[in-house]
Amino acid sequence: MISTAQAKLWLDRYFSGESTLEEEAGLRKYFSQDECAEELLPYQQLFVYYKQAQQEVASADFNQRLAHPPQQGLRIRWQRWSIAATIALLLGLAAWVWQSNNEVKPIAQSSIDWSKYELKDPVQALQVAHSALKRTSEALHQSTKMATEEVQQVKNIIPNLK
Amino acid sequence: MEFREQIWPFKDRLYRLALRLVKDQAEAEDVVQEVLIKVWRQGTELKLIQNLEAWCIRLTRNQALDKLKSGYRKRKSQLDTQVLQIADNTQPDVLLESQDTMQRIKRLINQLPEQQRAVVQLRDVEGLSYQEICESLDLPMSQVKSHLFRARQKLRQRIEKSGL
Repeated sequence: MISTAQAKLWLDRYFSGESTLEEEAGLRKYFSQDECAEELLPYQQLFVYYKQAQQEVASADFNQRLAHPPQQGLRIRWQRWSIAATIALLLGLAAWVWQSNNEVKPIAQSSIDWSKYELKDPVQALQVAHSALKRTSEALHQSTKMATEEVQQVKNIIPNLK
Repeated sequence: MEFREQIWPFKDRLYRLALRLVKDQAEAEDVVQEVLIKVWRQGTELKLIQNLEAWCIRLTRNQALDKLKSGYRKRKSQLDTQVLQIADNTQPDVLLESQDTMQRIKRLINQLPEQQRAVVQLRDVEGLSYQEICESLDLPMSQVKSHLFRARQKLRQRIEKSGL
């Protein structure tokens, strides 16, 4: 049985913010008794409220929802599978790109059909050879002419050069 | 240890704190559910948390404050109409008077600033030590004591003024 004097002391300490948890529990106990000093009656409901508020719980429906949280093991398995699937996807993509690159080159090389440029007619071949030799001769002749001109220009610059 | 076994012992405490802050039963349940999803997402890293309960209380408070900041439309204020259960053997007239008094006290507490309300909830309702409150709300000891002192002083003044 907690005395009124004790309760008053604890109450003063409570409102001054100096009470301990034990003293506050004592106050809750004192105010839950049937008999309470009249001068302390105004504070009784405050402590009764604290006691009742401690028993508030969420709805049964909410508790039901919380009772079945996702399984942690399932989450870990899902993570592992997602990592494995990502690696597989990347490997597949890399293989496809590599294969695509290797296939392009042979197609590019074989796309030039040199056989269609090969001459079949001997007369036409002689004409082509003649034309090529003529262009070569002209180029050589032009080179000689250009060299002669260059020498002449140098002679003009240096008159005493023999 | 399974997730449920870790959380179950204090999930009602989280709910009550959320309820005190958002002042709505359905919103408080949403807050707790969002907190538990965040906790669950930690997976195996949950083992690294030293004080899981304090961490969850902090998440709950932050989540509740986010909800308040987002300006959610309070449905019908269940907190104001919800009546705390009291003993069945009480006389009807006494019961009504007591319920009315409970509502008035609840309103007094709800009128406190958010930090004072949270500290009162954790200390006077949940019975946590100052150290536990510091860890849960991430506040220094001096601030926790200051909030509690001011809150109790306000409650005392209003109780004496209204003559509950």
